[in-house]
Amino acid sequence: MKFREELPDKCPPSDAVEPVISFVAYRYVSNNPVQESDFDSTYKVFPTKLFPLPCLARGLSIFTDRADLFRGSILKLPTKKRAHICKVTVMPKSGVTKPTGGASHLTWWPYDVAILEHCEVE
Amino acid sequence: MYKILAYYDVPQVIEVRDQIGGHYVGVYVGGDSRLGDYVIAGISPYCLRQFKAGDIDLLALLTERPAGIGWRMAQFVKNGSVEMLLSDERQDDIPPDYLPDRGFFLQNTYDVDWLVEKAREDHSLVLAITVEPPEAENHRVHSDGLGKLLINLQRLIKHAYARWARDAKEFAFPSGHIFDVCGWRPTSFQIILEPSERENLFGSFEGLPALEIIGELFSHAGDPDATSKLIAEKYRGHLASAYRDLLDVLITQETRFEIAWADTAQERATSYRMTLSEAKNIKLRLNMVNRLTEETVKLRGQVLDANVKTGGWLLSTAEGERSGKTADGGPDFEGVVMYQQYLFECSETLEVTGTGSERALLQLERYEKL
Repeated sequence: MKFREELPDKCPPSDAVEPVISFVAYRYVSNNPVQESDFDSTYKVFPTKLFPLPCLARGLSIFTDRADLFRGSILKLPTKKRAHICKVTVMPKSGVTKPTGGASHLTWWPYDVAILEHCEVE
Repeated sequence: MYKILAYYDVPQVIEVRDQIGGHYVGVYVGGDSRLGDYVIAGISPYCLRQFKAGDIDLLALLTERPAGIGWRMAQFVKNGSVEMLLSDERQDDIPPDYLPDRGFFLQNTYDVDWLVEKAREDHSLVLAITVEPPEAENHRVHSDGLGKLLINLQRLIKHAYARWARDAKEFAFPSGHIFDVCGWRPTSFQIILEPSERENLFGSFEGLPALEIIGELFSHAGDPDATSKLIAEKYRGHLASAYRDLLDVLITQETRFEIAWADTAQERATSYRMTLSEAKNIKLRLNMVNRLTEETVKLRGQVLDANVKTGGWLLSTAEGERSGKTADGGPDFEGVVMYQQYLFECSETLEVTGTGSERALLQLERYEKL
């Protein structure tokens, strides 16, 4: 399957896997209703910027436990103050994921498939 | 040198140390700024500790700086390895758009789902607690602090187990609440415990209902009013006393706290966290609840002593001799007949001795002849 964005070698990491079954995850998005750009990686938005963990910057952060969205209150951070919460169904053929960053946080590298029809802003 | 403290899409909150040992904390402000991607401010090691323990929020850290300490913009650059490039220091106010809202507390989380695997391997209920006292920076923990933490955690489990047995009218095993320390993880001060009692005949673990009650006590840590209301309305007495004492230990040791467990049937570990600031706020509210730690007990037995002058008394019950004092404003002993059977209704509080054992202090509220 082709990834939504062009990824460098060894990205995603070899232990990132396609989900066996569909699951619901949560992501902060800028737009309501949600738009394609809400699923652009930071690397795609700022291709000249350098971040540590460059492969993760080409993926999307999602939480599988809704409560984790509010722990630490990410919504209070400068770039997330006006964010909305989007509920998205991640399906087996919609990409690969890997637990990163603790709690229920996953990084998701989506395939080049339709995402918007499987998500809604809460 | 940098460390990621909070991650979402990119590092959102970072800790930076410069070559001469200066500490900074930075927050991602987006990639649009020409000046840099992060706002960072110099902070003292003490403030950094407070932030990591959840005692002060990010806004306070960035804006309540000591006089003469400014702020900078920063961005990651590649200079062989990835490093942070800092702009010149500025002394004016940080633009509001670059600041977080009030109330962003760091919530470090550790992976606790390994507990599920360990529970299955050991065929046991496995409990892990995580603390980060100041000395944890140097990969150590004071033995005195660790001792107090374990004693108070064990007391909390004991009283949660007793409360479950009483409310559910279930038989409580005498050692059903006892957990043994069976290891720790080198990545943090994560202490691993398993119950002394193995799985019971019905395939469940005696300590589990106690942990579920403890989970309830920690489940609204961010809402001190809700937590203190829950305890005042539902868990007064010895359980409240043990909980409050555990909060005291966390506050004294300046540590946040995480408790997690799994048994053989769980797919994911259950975990709850509390920051230092949350512990302080809950403790403040609990201190305002009258008679929070008193538990009413009814004793039936033969009166061996009832001192009209001092209010002291001694009762021989089926469980042994119990003694105490008369409560302020409580009954006098006029007319009490020695060696006769009486019902004493007392308020009981627990005092923890230096060795960690509990001593009951009984105050007689009323009595009647049987």
